[in-house]
Amino acid sequence: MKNINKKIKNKNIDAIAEARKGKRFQQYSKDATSRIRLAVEVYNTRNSMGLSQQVLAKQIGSTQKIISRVENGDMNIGISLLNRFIEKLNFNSDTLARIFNCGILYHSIEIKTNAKDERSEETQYEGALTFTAQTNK
Amino acid sequence: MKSIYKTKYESSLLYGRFFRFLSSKNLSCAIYKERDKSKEKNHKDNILSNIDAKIKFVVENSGLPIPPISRPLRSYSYFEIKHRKNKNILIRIFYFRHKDKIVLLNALEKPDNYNKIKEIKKIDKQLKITEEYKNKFILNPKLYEEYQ
Repeated sequence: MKNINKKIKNKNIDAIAEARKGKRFQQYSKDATSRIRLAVEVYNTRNSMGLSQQVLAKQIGSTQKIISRVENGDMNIGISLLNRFIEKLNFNSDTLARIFNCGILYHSIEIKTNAKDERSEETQYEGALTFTAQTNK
Repeated sequence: MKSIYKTKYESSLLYGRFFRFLSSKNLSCAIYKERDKSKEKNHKDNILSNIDAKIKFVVENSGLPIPPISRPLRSYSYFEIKHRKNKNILIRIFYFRHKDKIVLLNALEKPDNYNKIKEIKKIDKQLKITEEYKNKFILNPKLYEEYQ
């Protein structure tokens, strides 16, 4: 009877809750979330550009299988492959910030006006900073 | 059963046979020797964290099927989340939306090369079982929660 009771108790153990107690679980889950975000971004931009997985694979210099794995969020990609994705799919700083959940990245904004700016360089720089903060909000 | 999720979406998840799948020995990998138990545990944690993150993503998007993470099934009225366990094995998790909640119905391991009739029948059987569970849940959700 004891064995049976043990078996029944084991059935009610939640594996994910147990795994959460592990040291590396949080790190794994962080990695997984950023992988999922990357997967969604790659999938959406690829579709909006009207590219198939094979065409994108050729452009990037990898295989269709790798792209499908990236899009399913099952693969850890290296920096070189990530760079190629960024180049071909035209990822901007906003999309990268969304993927890696790193808040605001640097924006360079040029304000073109016909009239000459007579302010000193420091005040101009401060103005540009506030402008970027507003746009990022 | 007490909800296991401590984050904001803890109230929006229900577990069906999926819970049984998680607690079964399916997720433990036999490829590691007895010496490498820590490696095996890390591998298992990695798989579980990936599944957890995908479920979180689905919950954050209020259960809508957002490809490529979750997709609707062709001939059935529920959605699936896919996760690759190995080179050869894919984990499929089935769920559907019921009011504000997301009900995790069932999960199975699908081998990549399932050409044999036996394996195709197995998967079809599981899909039909999940459909039955869904129908039962819609008829009486409280009973279903107790059934877990």
